[in-house]
Amino acid sequence: MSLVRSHAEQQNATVYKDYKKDRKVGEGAYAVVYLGTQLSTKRVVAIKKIKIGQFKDGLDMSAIREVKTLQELRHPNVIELMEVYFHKTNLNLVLEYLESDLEMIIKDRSIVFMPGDVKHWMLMTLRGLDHCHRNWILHRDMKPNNLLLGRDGQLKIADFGLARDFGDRGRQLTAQVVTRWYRAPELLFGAREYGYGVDIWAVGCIFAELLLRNPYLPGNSDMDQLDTMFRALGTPTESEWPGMSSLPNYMQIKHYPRTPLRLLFTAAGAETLELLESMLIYDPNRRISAREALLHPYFFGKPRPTPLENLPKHVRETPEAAKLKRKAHVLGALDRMSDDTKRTARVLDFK
Amino acid sequence: MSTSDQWIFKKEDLYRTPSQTMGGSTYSEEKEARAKGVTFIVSVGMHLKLPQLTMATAALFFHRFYMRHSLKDYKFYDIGATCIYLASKTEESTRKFKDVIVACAQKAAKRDAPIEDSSKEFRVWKDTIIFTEELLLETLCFELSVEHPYHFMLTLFNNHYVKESNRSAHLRQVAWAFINDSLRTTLCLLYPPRIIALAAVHIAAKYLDENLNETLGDTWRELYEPDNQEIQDAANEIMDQYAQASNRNGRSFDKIAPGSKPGSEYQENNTPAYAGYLNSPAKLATPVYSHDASIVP
Repeated sequence: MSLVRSHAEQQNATVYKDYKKDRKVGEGAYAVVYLGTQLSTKRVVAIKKIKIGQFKDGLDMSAIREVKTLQELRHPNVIELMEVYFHKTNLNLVLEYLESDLEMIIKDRSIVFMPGDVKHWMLMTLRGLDHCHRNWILHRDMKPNNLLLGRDGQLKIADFGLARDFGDRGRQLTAQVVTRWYRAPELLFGAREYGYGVDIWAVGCIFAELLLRNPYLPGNSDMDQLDTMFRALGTPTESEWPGMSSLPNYMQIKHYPRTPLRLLFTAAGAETLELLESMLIYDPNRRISAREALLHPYFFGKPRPTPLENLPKHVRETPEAAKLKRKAHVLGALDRMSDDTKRTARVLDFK
Repeated sequence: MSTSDQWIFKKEDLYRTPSQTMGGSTYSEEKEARAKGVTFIVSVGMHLKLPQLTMATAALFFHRFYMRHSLKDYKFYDIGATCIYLASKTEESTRKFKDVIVACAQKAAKRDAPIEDSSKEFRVWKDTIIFTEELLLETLCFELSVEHPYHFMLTLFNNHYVKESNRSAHLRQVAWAFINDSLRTTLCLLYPPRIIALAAVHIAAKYLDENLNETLGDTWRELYEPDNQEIQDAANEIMDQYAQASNRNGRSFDKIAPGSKPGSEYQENNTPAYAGYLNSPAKLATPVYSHDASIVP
């Protein structure tokens, strides 16, 4: 049994020795992220180092949430937590490494998005999110920066530092979650009981951002966020969103009329706009769920989602080569598109 | 990372724990220390008004810890306190660190007056919990997501107990109390949550003279029969602690009126837990564990 006794420590030591930190790639509020290598497999990994010493209350809640939720979630569209170990007084999370994220791609002006690209990214985002929600976990920080993209094109939801369980009636949650531009209206009004709707609203904003190539609702402050939102989507009425005025921080905001989405999203098809609209419904109870969204006609119509290997990638090494490859794909997609059009035309040709 | 299979042990493993092979404890000494540790966890938990589920998680962490470390090296008060603190975080029911420290110090010393935050005692508790938290996490292999028999039992009642009646609520409360009491034992190291839940329902039905084959029908048979032996073993294990307690008190379980057993030591003001659940309408109306809504898949 003495073997068992030291098992955990031994395991920790073995795990620690298997990873090497190569270089720092980012620094968050409570952690530093390194690019690293798993020595036994030569696999490239991301190591998130959480400083414990700096927290006088022991291990930080974000770290606990991240470890706990990622253990519960295993899905191709959710980042994989490979190992956890202590070194000195730091907690290290070993995560799979993905080189870029959706934010980088959106900002990279050399890349042209095809409708099929956006469709596949949305599909992967919603699949990952549906998995979280079915396990009763809210992400609470959905934004392009947290949707990582792998070399193979696969999209994975990352950063579960704010994630927690939900569905418990009467349990109070904090409204101080989600990056402002992606924050749902109920959170801005200070709701303490909310559900999957907050993640869906954020996905709606991401969807819009993919179509516009610019943040959809970029408020400068929490106050301005509501103003920006209502200017874009119209000020909600009590009949549109029952219960709105009884939310803790509810305030009356200037009345803006609702402008149809198609006036801003001129290039988007009817199904695209219909799905977007159902994600951006003010009343959280009527907002579409991830599961319903996955069954939306948008995902079954033309164009088909771009195959993983053809999705745009943010490649640092050889931008020229990437551009060429991409150009070929875009041309190909355009070709295929006209093929589809031709086929439709042929079907309609009764002679 | 591994699943919780590594935390289900054979009965003989409980005779070869670090506390016995290296710490010089006997089996029964360890058993008693474990029971005391969980009683401490529960009394701190009640003081902090933590949900039952948080206390159950803390107890599970506690039992797992002593499968890899000895009671001689780590005092059960220190580990119990750290388990409470960690569980309050993993179960999203955080309390102020200061309040946890004060409650632990108070309950460990069995006194009424809270300690001052400037006292040396406060600092010692604080440093101990912070230091031990790391060791605890490592020992648990960072497995923070745990399951309890409560989930399974409530799903069973919600989905299969056809008519929600006083009798079914009664049965549920009694089974619940049996699960609560089992926290003090090493049952969670021997059987998965599902088996413990079925064993608790089985005993509760016997206790209340309820025929589960009637009320739960085929569902019960389907659940019970495949694991018959295991459920029986787990049920015996649950009953053992009452038998021992009765022997000490010179009473036998059968003769004890409902309300005097089990779980008396769980209540702050000496009203037995069991009696509380059975007789107080307020308690029946607001189950300690209000998770029902989210459990149904």
